[in-house]
Amino acid sequence: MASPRTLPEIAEVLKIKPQYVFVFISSAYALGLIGQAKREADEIVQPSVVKKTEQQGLLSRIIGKLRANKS
Amino acid sequence: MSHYKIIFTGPVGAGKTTAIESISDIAPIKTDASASDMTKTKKSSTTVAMDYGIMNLTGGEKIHLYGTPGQERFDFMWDILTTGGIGLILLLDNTRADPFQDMKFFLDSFQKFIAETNVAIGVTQMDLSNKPTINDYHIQLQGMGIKPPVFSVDARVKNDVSLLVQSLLYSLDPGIEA
Repeated sequence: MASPRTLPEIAEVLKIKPQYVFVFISSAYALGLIGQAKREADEIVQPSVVKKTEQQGLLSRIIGKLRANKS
Repeated sequence: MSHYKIIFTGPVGAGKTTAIESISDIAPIKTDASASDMTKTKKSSTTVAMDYGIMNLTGGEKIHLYGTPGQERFDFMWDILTTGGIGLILLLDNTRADPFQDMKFFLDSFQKFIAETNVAIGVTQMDLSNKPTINDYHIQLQGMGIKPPVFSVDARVKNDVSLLVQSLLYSLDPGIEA
């Protein structure tokens, strides 16, 4: 495999059931043997930092109100 | 105690009055009159000054919900209503002859207010007319160089109106923590 793959892709390449891949990866991750793939793009494309604005508290309260009133 | 405004606009019959009714904490104050002009082909009464509703927030703050009258001859009201507003909800009626023309007209009319704040667009009556599609609206908006949120909404459904207002708030500030 030349590049990072998703878990279903690994199951497909190895021709085994996806649950075996999930169990293996989960166990290995829990033991610290593997981690998430780091792509070159992750460092090039950084998410922009969201600035706090004066209105943010007010907007949060409006959203809270709208969600509480859901029916 | 602070007071803020959210403005609802759009052509006659797009559902501004109904949308405000859906999320207001008080029975909305309407300034409807019997339709005497071409509006009467769409509905029997229409808003001639404004609709008004309130959302009460914790801490005593109030969000005033203002609906503009749909007819262009009342456009002198629009500047007055938008002063101090935090954002614009544009409702469009998909059954009208040319909803894109309506959209352009209102986006142009409120250009200054939108530039200072933001806009979210709700398309109503899509159950009666499913063309143009939401994707068609996005294509039109792309041509105008803006990317506001656009949803199909039923103005009678509180959750639809609520989501539309939430999308406006998130476009004003993507960092809001609810």
